[in-house]
Amino acid sequence: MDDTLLVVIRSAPYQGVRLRESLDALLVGAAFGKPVVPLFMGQGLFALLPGQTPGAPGQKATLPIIDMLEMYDIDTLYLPAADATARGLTEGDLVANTQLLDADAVQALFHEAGQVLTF
Amino acid sequence: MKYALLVMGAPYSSQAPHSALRFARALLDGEHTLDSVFFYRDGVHNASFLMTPPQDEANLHRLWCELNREHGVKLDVCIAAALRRGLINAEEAARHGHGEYSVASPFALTGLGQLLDIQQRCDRVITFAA
Repeated sequence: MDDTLLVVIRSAPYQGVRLRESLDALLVGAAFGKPVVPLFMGQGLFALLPGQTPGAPGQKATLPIIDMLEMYDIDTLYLPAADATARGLTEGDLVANTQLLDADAVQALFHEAGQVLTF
Repeated sequence: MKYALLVMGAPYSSQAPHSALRFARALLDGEHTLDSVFFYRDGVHNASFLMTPPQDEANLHRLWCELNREHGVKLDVCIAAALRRGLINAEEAARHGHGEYSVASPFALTGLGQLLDIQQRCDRVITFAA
């Protein structure tokens, strides 16, 4: 577990390129052969909504990147259950491979990660 | 301890680079070393040697250069984030057909993978987000 890279993503889609540049870090970590764990927090949860249509004013969609994370062996997308509740979201509202975590489990992710990058 | 800094805020619109510089100075005044500063997101604007603030304001580019000159701190800039925002060095300018450029040594355009390398070789990476 020591080599695991935890990437914390807190940006919603179409907030400039913030989300895209956060996901890039995720992909680079995976491309370098590191075990990468994504944790979506706060407004970052909106990145996981499946109903997004591409083509928000002049910006590339980020959902296709979320959808292809599995190809990079990033199988599970974690998020704090409390952040979902606060935004009126349940697991059923989000893309398939998400897992809601209680506060202790979120803490454990940070504890177990060898490295953490927060965006 | 060996430190690195990740700076993601632009000069003059975010406090991040100012705080990062103060943190860097505090580190170096103590018993620590500062290996590198990595500039990502809007932080890449720190790398422009064309920034020309009024004379009575801090010139962030110059302050980073001083850090490099005095302590050998490496200044790495994410190339994708930089090019997207018009921050470009001579080599990339030639490649993309631009006549001018705005980034030069000691700032180096490099891949995001460099950030992971830095994280691997340093004891701590401190993030200054915008």
